[in-house]
Amino acid sequence: MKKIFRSKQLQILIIGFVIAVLPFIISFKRATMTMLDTVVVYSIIALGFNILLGYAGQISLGHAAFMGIGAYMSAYITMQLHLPFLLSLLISGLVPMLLGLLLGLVALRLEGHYLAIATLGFGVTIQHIFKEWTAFTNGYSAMKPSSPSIFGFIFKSRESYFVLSIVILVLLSIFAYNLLKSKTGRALIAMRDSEHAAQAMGVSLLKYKLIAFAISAFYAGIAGSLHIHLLRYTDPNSWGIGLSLNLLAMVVIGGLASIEGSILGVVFIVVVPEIIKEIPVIGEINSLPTILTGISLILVIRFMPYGLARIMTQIKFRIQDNKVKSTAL
Amino acid sequence: MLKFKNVDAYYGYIHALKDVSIEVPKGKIVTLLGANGAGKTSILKVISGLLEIKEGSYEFDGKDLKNYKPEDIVSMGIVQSPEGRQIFPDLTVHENLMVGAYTRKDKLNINKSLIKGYEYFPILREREKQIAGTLSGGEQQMLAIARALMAKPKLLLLDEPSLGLAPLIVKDIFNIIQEINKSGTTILLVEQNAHQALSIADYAYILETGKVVHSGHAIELRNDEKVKKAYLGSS
Amino acid sequence: MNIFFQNVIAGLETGSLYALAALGLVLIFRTTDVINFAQGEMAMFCSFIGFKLFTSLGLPYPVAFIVTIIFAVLFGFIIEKYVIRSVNKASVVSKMIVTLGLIMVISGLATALFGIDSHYLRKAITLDNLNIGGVVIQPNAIFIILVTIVIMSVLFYMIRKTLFGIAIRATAQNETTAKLMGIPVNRITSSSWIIATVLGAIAGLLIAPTTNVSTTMMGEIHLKSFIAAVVGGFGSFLGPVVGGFLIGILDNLVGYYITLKWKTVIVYGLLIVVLIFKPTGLFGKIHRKKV
Repeated sequence: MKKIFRSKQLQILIIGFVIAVLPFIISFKRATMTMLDTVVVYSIIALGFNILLGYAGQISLGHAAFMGIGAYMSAYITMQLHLPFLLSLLISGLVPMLLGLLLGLVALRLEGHYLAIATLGFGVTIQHIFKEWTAFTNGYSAMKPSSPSIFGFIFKSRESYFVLSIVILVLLSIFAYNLLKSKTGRALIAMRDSEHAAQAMGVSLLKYKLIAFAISAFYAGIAGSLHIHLLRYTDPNSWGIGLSLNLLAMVVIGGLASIEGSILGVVFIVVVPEIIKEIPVIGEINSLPTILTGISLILVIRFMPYGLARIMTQIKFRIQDNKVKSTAL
Repeated sequence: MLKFKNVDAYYGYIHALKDVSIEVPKGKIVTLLGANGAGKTSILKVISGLLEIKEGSYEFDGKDLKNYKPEDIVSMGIVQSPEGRQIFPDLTVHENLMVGAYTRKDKLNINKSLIKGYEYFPILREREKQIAGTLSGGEQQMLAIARALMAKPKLLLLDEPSLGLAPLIVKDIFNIIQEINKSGTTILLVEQNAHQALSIADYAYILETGKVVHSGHAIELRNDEKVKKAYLGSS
Repeated sequence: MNIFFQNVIAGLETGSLYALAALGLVLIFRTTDVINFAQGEMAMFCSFIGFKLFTSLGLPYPVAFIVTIIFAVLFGFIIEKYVIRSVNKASVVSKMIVTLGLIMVISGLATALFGIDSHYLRKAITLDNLNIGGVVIQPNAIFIILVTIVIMSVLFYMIRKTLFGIAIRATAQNETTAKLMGIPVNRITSSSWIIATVLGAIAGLLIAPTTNVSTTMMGEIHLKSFIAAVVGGFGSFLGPVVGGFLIGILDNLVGYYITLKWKTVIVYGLLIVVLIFKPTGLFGKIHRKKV
C-alpha cells in the first residue's frame, strides 16, 4: 500500500483531484477563477517548454506561435467545420507537433544563439501569417469560439472549465513524468549536457531533438486550444514575442528540468501581477509586472539557476557547502 | 626577484598548490618540473593574476603581487607565454606581436623590440603579413615567445615551450631562450621535458601533486640518482 | 528603371540602419560571446531620451542628438557593468536569457516613463527632395547613408588598424591570452557595449521620422539587424554590414515587385534558409567549434 502512495503518478493524480475540487468548496470570484484557469492552461505549455529547454537544452523563442496555431486550429474546426471540441483539441495538438518536427530538423543544424535567432524568426513569421491569412484567422476582427462541449456537457462556468483543464494537465504531467523517467528522458538530459558525449554513447541527436520539439509543440497547441475556448477570443497580437518571452521566464524562474517548477513559474508570472495591481500607487503603473518579470528573470539566472522549485535544496546545499569549507580550513 | 612564500591555492575544491615556496633570482633561468597536474601551470597562473591564492604571499622586486589584475602584472614587467602557444589565430603575425606591446608606455621604442624579435626568429619577419593560424607549430611557438618579448619583460614566464614540437625545433628554441636570458631577461621555465630544461636552467624545482618535492641547482639535480630515475628516464 | 533605383535607394537607407544595428550586435557578440537581444529596446529607450530632449526641453536638434549619444554611452556602460558582467560565468544560453530579461525591463520602464503613444520626431535633414533624372531622392536618405558610411569607415579603421582594434579582435579570439598580454579585457568589453549602444541610438534617432518614436519602434529594425548579422555571418565585422544593405534592398524590391503583404514572411524565410544551409553566413569564416 505504501509503495503505491509513493508512486509519483498517483501523487500527481491526487494533487490534481484536490486542486480540481477546491473551487467547489471555496467559492472564488469570477476574475479569480479566470486567473486560476489561465494558470492551468499556461502550465500545460510551460510543461512542454520545460521538456524542451530544461531537459533537452534546446532554446526556442517562437513557442507562442505553436500556441497560436493550436488556438486558431481549434477555433476553425469547431466554428467553421462544426466538428466536436475533443477532435479539435487533438488536431490542435497534432498540427503544431508536425511543425515542431520541422523546427527540430532546424535545431539539428543550429545551436545556442543561432537556434534562438531562427526560432525568433519562425515566431515572427507565423505571427505575420496570423495577421495576413484572414480567411483562416479572421485577422484583427478576431476569432470568438463558443464554450467547448463534450458529449453534450457544455463547459461554460469557470469552475467546470477548471476541472476540464486540470484533467488534461494531470494526464500530460503523468505522460511527461513517465517519458522523462524512461530511456528517452535520460537521452534528452545526456544531449543537453553534452551533445558530443551523448552522440558518443549512441544517442541519436536527430531523434531526440525531434522528440523534444514535437512534444513541446504538442503541449503548446493543446494549451492554445484550451486558451481560446476559455477566453473565447483571440487576435494575432496575442501570439507574439511577448508571450514567448513570458514562457521562457515562467520556466526559468520556476525551475528548469522540473515538472513542479514549470507550474510554480506560471503561478509566479500570472499571479504576482494580479497582486501588484492591488497595491496602491505603484499598482497603477501598467508595465510594472513586465519590469518585475524581467528583473526576476535576471536575478534567477544570477543567484538561483535552479529556480523556485529547488530553492530549498539550494539553500541546504549552501549551508553544507559552508560547513565543508570551514572544516577544510 | 620573484618570491613565493608558503602559497596555497585552490581550483574550486581542488587543492592545486600546497605550501609552495620558490624563488627566482634576477638574471637566472629557473625551471619548474613535474608531471601533468603537478601544479606548474597553477604557479604561472598565480603569478599572472589569473588564480587567487588562499594562503601565503608572493612578491616581485619586493612588491606584494596579491590583488593585482593581469594587465597590471604585465605592466610591472612579468609576461607569460602560455601553454599550447595560444597565439591569436585570426590576427597576422605582426598584429600578434603588436598585442604583446599593448601595455608599453614607450611607444617609440616598440619598433626596436620588433626588430629584436625578428632577429631572434628571422622566420617571423618572412611571415609578417601571414595569418598566424596558418603557421606551423614551431613557428607558432616562436611567435608566442616573441609576442611575450614585445612587452619588454623583466621576468619571462614560459609554459611548456617544447610541447608537441620536433626535437630539432625544441633545440633551436631552447638555444634562443638561453640567448634571451643572456641579454638580461630573467626566465621562469615550466617544462615536462626535464632533460632539456635542466640543460639550460640554473636552478630547478620539482613538483608533485601541488607540492615542491625537490629543489636545487640544475647541475646537481641532473646528477642526482633519484631525480634521474623519476624524471629523466632510466639512463 | 527609375522605380527600381528609387527602391534601391530606399533599400540603402533602411539597410544602413540595419547595418548599424547589426554591427553593434556583432561587436558585442565577438567580445563577450553574448547576443544582445535587448539591443532594439536599448535603442528605443535612447530614442525616447532624444525625443524628450528635443520636444520637452526644446533643445536644438543637433544638441539633442549629441546629448542622446552621451546618454547612450552611459547606458551601455551601466548595462554591461552591472548586468552583463554579473553573469560573466553563466552559460551561453543563460547570458542570452539575461538579455531577454533586459527586453522586459527596458520596455516596461519605457512604457512607465514615456507612455504607449507614438510621437513624430523630425528628420535630421529637412531640405526639399532632389530629382535626378526622374529618380526622386530625399536629402535625408542621402544623409542617413552618408552618416552610416562615415561611421562604418571610422569603426573599420579602428578595428583594422589601431592597437585598440587589434586588442578587440584579440579579446574576441582568446580572452584568457588577451589578459596575459596585458589587455584590460573588462575595458574592452565595456567599450564594445558602449559603441554598440551608441550605434543603436543613432539608428533609432534616424529611423524615428519613419516609424515615429514609440515603445515598439525598433521591433522591425532589431529583427532585421539579426537577419543582417546572420546573413553576413557573426564571425566577421564586414559581413553584417553588407548583410544589412542586402536585406534593406531586398526588402524594398520584394515589397514592390512581388508582394507587400507577404514581404516580411519572405524575408524571414530567407533568414531560416540561410541559417540552415550556411550557418556561418554568406561571408562568415568557419567558426572553430570549442568542445
